[in-house]
Amino acid sequence: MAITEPGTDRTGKHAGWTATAAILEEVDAPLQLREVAIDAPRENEVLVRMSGVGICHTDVSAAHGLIPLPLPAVLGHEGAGVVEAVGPGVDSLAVGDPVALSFDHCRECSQCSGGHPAYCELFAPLNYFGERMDGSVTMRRGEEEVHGNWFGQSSFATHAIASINNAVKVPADLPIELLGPLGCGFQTGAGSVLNVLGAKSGEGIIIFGMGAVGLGALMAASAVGCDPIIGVDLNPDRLALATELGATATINPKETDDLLWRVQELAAPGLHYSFDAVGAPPVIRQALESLRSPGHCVTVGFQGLENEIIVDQGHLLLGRRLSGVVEGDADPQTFIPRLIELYRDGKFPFDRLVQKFPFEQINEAIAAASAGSVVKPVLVFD
Amino acid sequence: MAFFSSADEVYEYVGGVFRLAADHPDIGPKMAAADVTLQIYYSDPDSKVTIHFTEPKLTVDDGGDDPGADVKLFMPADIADKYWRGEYNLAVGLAKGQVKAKGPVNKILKLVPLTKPLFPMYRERVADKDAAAAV
Repeated sequence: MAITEPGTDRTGKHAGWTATAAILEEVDAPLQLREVAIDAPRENEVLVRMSGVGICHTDVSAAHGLIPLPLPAVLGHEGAGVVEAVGPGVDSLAVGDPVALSFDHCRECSQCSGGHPAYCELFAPLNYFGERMDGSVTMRRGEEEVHGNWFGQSSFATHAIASINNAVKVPADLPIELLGPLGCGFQTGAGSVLNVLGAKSGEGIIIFGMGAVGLGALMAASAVGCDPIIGVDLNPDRLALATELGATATINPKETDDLLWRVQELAAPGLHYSFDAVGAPPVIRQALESLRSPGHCVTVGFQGLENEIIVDQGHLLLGRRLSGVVEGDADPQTFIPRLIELYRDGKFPFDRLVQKFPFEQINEAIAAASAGSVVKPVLVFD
Repeated sequence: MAFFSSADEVYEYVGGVFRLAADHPDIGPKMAAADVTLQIYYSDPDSKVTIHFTEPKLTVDDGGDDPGADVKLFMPADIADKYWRGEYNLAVGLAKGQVKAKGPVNKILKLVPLTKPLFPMYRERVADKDAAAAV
């Protein structure tokens, strides 16, 4: 995993750095650790030596071909590490800075300048296609292009190119290898509760799906004093964890004939808020129908770019809202520091959800996440 | 001034590059496996092409207009020229509204990486036209 200094190859061209990356060669294939050449950081870019990277459901979805990412590609979008080099024009970050990486965004369009970079007009081309906007790639294997700009980072690698937009400087006294998931999974859950729903003390919320995103939402709801907080999942272990993290009640759909009736028993006439981290149409409908009037349901679960649902418009009419949300509608430059403050205050103990795996065991870590035996696998580097 | 002077030129060069894809031993079968019909409407000059990415072989219908196509795109023909030269990011064009779309566009975006080897072939085909324009 050694990094080499920039140099010149025998043809006289800049040879860049090399690193070890987990390459997705084809859909559904195991990731292969291979050496790649990494481009030198360009204007406003930084080269980050990775300390840790979380595995997110979106990485797994891309590996299954649900996102039109060109292959070969390097996934990974919850990276954290140390700035190794900076490109021209970078003055907000310096070599040696610890950073957590989040989604990329332009910081120039009306959405970004309006405080909603998760809806950046260029979100799709900046995050999903593994290329810079000019079509160039950040990684190569010989003459072959490797799409290494997934979410502006491709952090399933010892080193990755990020930018001043999605690299967030974090305090040096924290365990840097654990901070990457603050840039996506935990941000998505917590941001939805804090930024979109605006949940407050004494208001009720029901959360469907006790994975990293759902538990992120739960910890945020608990942090602001929501009551009741109802966690829903098929996995009893996850429900027990939800209780430890602040759920006032839990529901296992396998253990009730009528989930919505159980909700009424627990929180009549329904909850102020509901949160769906699953994305399955019946679950979204249940999340909506758990609401009181008025109420607000957020859905963040991803089940593919086409995912039709049927809702009861008559039920919706009475002041109920359904919102789709990505990345918690957060600005990572301010929201990651906010989550870190909650963590320091003991109100956002995300580290309890993390299990570390050596980078070399990336496929085992993905399998553990898919099987549900680990909430948030984080790959760590030597 | 628009690069293509007539619909026939659009069909010759842009329709032609899709036909190159159809006949390409690696790219053709992969595109045919997409099982999607794409309808493209161009402006400057007004023209339209239907591409059936269906097995056994991709087919191109110059001047075709399939209202039931899975995906519809609308763009100036100059954007098509830039794309096939390798100078235009289709995802950015969609994001900025320079290319208008209807339907599951991700099915088409999945094919974009397959088109890269065709860029030099397209540039070669338009080289004479470029030279004539430069005079």
